[in-house]
Amino acid sequence: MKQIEQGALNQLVWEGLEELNDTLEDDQKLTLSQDMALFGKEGVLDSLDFVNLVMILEDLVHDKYGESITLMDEKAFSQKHNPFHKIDALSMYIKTLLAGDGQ
Amino acid sequence: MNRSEYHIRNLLMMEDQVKWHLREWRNQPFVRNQMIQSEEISESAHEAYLQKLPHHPTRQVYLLMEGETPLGVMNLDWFRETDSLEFGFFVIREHDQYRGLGALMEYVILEHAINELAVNEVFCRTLTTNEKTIALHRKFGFQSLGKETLETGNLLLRQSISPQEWQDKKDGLKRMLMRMAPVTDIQWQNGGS
Repeated sequence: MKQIEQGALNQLVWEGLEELNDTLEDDQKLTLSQDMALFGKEGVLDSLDFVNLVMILEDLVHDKYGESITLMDEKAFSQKHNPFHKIDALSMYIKTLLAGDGQ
Repeated sequence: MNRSEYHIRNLLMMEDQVKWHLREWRNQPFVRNQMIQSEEISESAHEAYLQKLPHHPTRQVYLLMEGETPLGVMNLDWFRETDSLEFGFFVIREHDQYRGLGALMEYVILEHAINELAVNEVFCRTLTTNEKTIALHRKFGFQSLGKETLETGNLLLRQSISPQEWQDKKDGLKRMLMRMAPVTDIQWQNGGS
């Protein structure tokens, strides 16, 4: 399993959000910022955006690190602090999965 | 870890205990606040609804299940005289909101309505305050038809999709959603008595 720096994974999540934005129509594009809320009532993602982002990130992880991870399973949603809430939390969750601690 | 497999069940095929849970699910504030009729459903009103449901001319209620766990509720009204279907859905657990279950339910409803019931129009009405759901419908190809004002003063947006519009959209959505969550063992029971 791989140990990847948090900063690199933050960048990966950011790239994922930019790729997601590329799929959205002009009036639906997200205004990206490092501390934006992604998920939940205050989050910017709707149900379909969320699925799309998860798929994009799983593909990016595979392309960059050669690892297959499953971001979206019941374990993720049963965690006290939702790992999809913010970019930092999401990149930390990916780091955990890549290190083999989360599956 | 494998992704979840989901199933669709007609509420009428479920045990009485599940039918009664529907009222609790529907009365949760995060659910009813998004409903056209947002007041709490009383026990007697729910009992009357359950008695009427098997003979209702348009209404069918389905559950999105993961194993034996209900995750979502889908209401379908098939209007045969106008060859159209209106739908609505909600997720049962608040922490499941926005994680793709709504998109999954919307996908299976559209496939059922257009491919199996062969309706010419699928539509939904959403409170204009529910911006994420309206955006979700748009991404599925729904067109906005106009707004209506409720007695409460709240505004509803009507959105509609035709079979051709759905055919143009569905392949990309299917690739995404089925990778997230294969839906197997679908037990649709056609609307109407």
